[in-house]
Amino acid sequence: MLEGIFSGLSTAVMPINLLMVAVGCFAGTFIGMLPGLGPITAIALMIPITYGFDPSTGLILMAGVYYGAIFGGSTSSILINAPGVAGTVATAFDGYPMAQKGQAGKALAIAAYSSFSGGTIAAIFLLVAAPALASVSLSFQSGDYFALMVLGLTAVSAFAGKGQVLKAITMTLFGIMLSTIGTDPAAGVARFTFGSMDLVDGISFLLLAMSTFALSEALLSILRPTKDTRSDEEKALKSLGSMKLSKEEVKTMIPVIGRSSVLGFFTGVLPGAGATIASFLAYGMERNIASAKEKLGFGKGSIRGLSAPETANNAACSGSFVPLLTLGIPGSGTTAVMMGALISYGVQPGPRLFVEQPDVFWSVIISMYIGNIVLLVLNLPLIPYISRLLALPQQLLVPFVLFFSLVGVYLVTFNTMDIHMMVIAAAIAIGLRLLNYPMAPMLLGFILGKMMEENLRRALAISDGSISFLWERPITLVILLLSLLFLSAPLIGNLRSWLANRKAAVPNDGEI
Amino acid sequence: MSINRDKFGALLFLCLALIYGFYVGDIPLLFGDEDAPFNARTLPNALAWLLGVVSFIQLVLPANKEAGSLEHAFRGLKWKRVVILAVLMVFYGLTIRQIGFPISTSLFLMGGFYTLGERRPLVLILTAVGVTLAFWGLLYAMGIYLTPGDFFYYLGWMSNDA
Repeated sequence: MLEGIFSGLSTAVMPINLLMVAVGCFAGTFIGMLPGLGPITAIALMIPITYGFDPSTGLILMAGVYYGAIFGGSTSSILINAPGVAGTVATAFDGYPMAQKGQAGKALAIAAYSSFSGGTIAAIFLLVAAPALASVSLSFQSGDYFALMVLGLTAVSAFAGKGQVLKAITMTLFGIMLSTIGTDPAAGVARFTFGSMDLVDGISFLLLAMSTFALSEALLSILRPTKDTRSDEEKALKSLGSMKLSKEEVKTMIPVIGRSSVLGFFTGVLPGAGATIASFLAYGMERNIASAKEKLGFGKGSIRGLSAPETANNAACSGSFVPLLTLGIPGSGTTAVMMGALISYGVQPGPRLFVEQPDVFWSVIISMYIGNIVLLVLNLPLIPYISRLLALPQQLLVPFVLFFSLVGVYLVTFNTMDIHMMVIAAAIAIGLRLLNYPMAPMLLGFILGKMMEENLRRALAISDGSISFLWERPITLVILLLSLLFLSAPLIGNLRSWLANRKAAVPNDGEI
Repeated sequence: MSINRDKFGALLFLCLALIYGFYVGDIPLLFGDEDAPFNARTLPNALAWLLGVVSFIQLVLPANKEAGSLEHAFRGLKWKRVVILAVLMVFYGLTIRQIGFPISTSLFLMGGFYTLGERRPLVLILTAVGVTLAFWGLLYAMGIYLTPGDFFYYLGWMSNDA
């Protein structure tokens, strides 16, 4: 393991990789600060740039973008109460009131120190947990992988939020359906290609990610214009105030950081949970354990209320790398995009990655520390300068996003048909977004669909066509039961509330 | 009459499941694969059924009133500019080979800027052409050469001869 760590360290500290972490954090912060564009878009826009790089360098850049985007989202949450990313919504609860009190600089510093500490502590957990889990998962068989993929997909649907579970399941199935387009890898027969040569190789992952996130998000900002918050952000940045923290404030933050890091990391490991749920859980936990007097301060600029979600969302970002690096199963839309990029570099994430390409595995983990340092040392003081980029008017910004998305896909295949397919896919994505369907489960379904089919086919072949592989090994059975639990819990909850509402309505009907 | 947004979505996916399920029959099977426990049609068949059942459940369950009506979801949207941008993207796809990367990209960017309200000719032209040429140069430096366009070869202004 030590050998791997040193190998990862030597890769991560190579000048090009250090540069990429810095560029990634910088670009991610800028994109994260833009209203409407999230980390998935930020990472998707980076994929074409990384094609010419070594896989480690590409992944390091994307990890930097991920952290940067979350940090950028926090900045707009604190300054103007407009979270750029869902994971930083809870940050605004206490960050914005602090900014209103004229302590924006202090709020930004608390967010940066908390993010740094959360990310660093979680990276240490990752350092221990990932190789341990990777060693265990080396004994996994096709049936176990199939079960794990089912777990990943059901968990994403289960964490989708109230009233969204059926929609998330629908989108997951839709994603798997899209993955069946093209040549069936085992039989070699064409499926749903309708005679088109452009569909024989299936739909490209990059095309789907770019059109459903970058293109559709940029077009939606035109279709459904919201208040352009960038000038407010610029104004707020001009009166930041001091960024220094007192000893008392640091003392208050330390235990919060400890608790929220642990909570955030383990929430991030859970497939489907991620930074958003982690930040809300941490905020809720801090408020619950606070004294009655401290509780009154929540929502009015409490340091604990700001530090907890910021620590947890960064810790969750690191945690979400655990299933990706060790099992080859992305736990969130963002890690799904990263997995797609890794596959396109020719690197197969999973337990073998730890054995076969330890430099990639370890350099990503080490670069997380470096990324956190870059965010603290470079990004925090540079925030006022990064914000100047926000002055770029929207009429110029949106065509640039469209151009980079289109050309990013075109440069991979040099097929103009892809550009037309992107327009169609973006139009469908806009329609689905307007109908309030979540996009991340579709991307996850698309990525995992092919692998799920492959593992199911292999497991069936090994067990001579019998489905007994689903319960023969305890590990497979446990994972499948967990999936069932994940899937049934929100559905039963919905059904119970519906029945309760119905019962409450019946006597009234009778009286009338 | 106004339909609930969620119900409309469920209806669309139910139709998709039916169409997808219908075309599963078109997937060719290799000799002897018909009786295999898993063939090229197995997963698509399962998916069509699952999506059909899930969307049917959503369709028959009581409507989620928070979702609002379909009309409400599509009200007040600025379609015109989005449609123009979509047409520009299609145009970009059609011309990138013919008139080449530099000209088609410059035109696409200028069209995009203009559609979204930029009227200063100097900003329009200089930004679009400047970014395009800078990006083209960057690609060239990275070893990716995008031809100036088939059109120039047809005119004989450029030659494929080494």
